[in-house]
Amino acid sequence: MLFGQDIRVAKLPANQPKAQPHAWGERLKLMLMLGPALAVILFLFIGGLGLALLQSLGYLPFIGRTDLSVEAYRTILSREEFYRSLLLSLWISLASTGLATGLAVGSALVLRQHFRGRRWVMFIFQLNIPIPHLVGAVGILFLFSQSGFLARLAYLAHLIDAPGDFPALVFDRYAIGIILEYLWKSTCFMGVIVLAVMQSVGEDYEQAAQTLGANRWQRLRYVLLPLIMPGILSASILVFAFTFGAFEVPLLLGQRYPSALPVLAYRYYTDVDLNFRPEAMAVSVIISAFVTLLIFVYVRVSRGISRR
Amino acid sequence: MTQVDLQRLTKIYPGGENPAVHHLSLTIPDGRVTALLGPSGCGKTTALKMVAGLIKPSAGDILFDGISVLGVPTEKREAVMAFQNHLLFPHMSVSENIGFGLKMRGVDRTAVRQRVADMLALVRLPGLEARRPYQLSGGQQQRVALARALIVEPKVLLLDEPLSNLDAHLRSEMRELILDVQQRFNLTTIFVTHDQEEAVVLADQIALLFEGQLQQYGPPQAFYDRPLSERVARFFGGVNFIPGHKRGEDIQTPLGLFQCPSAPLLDGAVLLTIRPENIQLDSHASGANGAYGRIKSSVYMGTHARFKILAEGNSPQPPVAIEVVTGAAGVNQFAVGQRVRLHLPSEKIWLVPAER
Ligand SMILES: Nc1ncnc2c1ncn2[C@@H]1O[C@H](COP(=O)(O)OP(=O)(O)O)[C@@H](O)[C@H]1O
Ligand SMILES: [Mg+2]
Repeated sequence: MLFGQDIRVAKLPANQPKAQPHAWGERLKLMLMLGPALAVILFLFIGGLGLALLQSLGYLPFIGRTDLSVEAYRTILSREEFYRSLLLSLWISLASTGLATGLAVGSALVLRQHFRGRRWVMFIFQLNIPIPHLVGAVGILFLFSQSGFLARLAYLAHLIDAPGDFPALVFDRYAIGIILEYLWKSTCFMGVIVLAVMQSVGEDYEQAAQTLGANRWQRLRYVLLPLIMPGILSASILVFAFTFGAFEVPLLLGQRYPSALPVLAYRYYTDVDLNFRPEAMAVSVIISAFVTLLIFVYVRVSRGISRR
Repeated sequence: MTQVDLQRLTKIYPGGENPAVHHLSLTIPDGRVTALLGPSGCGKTTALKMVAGLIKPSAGDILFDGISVLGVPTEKREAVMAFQNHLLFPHMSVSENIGFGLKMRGVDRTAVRQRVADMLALVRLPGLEARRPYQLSGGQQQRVALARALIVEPKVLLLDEPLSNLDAHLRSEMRELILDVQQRFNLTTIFVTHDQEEAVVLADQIALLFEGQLQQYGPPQAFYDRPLSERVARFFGGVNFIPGHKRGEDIQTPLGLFQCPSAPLLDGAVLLTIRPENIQLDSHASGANGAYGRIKSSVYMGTHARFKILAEGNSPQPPVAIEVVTGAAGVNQFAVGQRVRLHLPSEKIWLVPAER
């Protein structure tokens, strides 16, 4: 159901005959084909998460600690730092996902039309996807920091008296630089996905609505958006999960305090004092649990919608 | 009640070599059913979408009651289109689908609900309000699409192949429903089909298109009795074409001389045509406008019988293949190999231009 292109085919009548014969053969074939991918995922996911969980519970045999306790969780949950980081991370993820979703839908609406130069714009969108976030973060620094390109430009144009008067968009309270970096990547990524979903839906439904008297806004509101909503939701969940869990961009562009949750985990993890290790892992486990819960809720809700 | 005039309507798609629709001029009478008929790809949907305003014409004009609607956007044109694959909105219930047009016009909820119930009764699907489109059969989906179009009381109803996704018995049911509803509302209806039989049964007027060009426009009977060309005649099941030379009312053919008082063509080379059911078979010789032939094959078709006959005249020319349809009893009367006399009544003979 991811990306929702198959919303129409997915809604088969309930009385479809089920394929009973060869069920075992089919299942075996499926297992054989999915097997390698599943093995890798299970190994990394269960292995990685399991290890993180163990370490978060204080299991660190290499420094001689083998008894399990929830001490690390208790410690971080009692620190104000944790809640500030959580809020900051939520803000970064929500703001960048929300804005990127809006921009992506808008761009896709433009890109589905035919105009001169459309192929170039498409190319630029796709070109941005494989560029690493690290490069994006460096670019944001170069452009937006108070000693950056835009600050100097504004100074030269006499818009500000000194480059230092340029508004703080990097290492700032509101994490503008981080959000800008995520916005840049996520808009391109989601734009390409939303465009694909729109093209698979086609324009026929909107044309039918139009002859029935729906104007441009009504066609968007009542026909196109509901039809592509499953795709939009899937894509934005992916973006949210990524921005909530990634540490490199907030590490490079963020304030030192409070820092985003993944940065907090990273700092604890790289602390010379190995006793911080369980706390690093506890934060990671909390991040994973949060994202997993989010996806679970999404799946339940979207299943409920399509069943209604 | 709206009369629709198409004036030299033309559409050339970007990159298309030939126009999809070329200089199409038609006066579509109000309150009647007009069929746009033609093989797949001849430009029917393009023409219909131009009337709806979904495609901008490259040239020409469209008038509703004498007033050009080219400047009127689709959503204000009041020409509602129902599509071949019904296009019910999958995320809405049946009643939301039917009420869609009224909701867009800001009609209040209770009024919409009442009208939706009326419409469902009209298309004989009462009580299905809460269903989702995927829970309906193909025939039901098509009827909901019709109800969704009718509820806004359009000036013009545009139907694109409304029957072609249905199986035979649903098709005749839907056909009756369309006729019933159309007569009740006295709606100007334009419907597109590639099936000449469907056009004949449903339409008051047929416009036949080949490659975007109008071939003939008139009541269904004219396409059987007075086709304008061999192609038109063949599209309507014409099979008998005998080359000849016309001088006055006399047509000289390899099968002999035939009389045809009604043909409007100039003297010269012509094709004589007659529908297979209008030829009379006899076992013994009689009268003028006749020829002899030998039966090559016969097929019994339940209500009638179909014969393939090689006919020849007195001249030493190669024989001409002729098809004849008789009543079902003909199959006992005439046997394969038998020599028969064909009678072509002069009032049933029609002439079309000899092509090339
Ligand atoms: N959007 C389009 N762009 C280019 N050519 C098109 C387009 N739509 C239809 N055509 C061409 O125009 C011709 C008429 O198409 P159409 O109106 O759909 O025919 P019909 O409905 O009679 O089958 C066809 O040759 C088709 O390939
Ligand atoms: Mg068509």
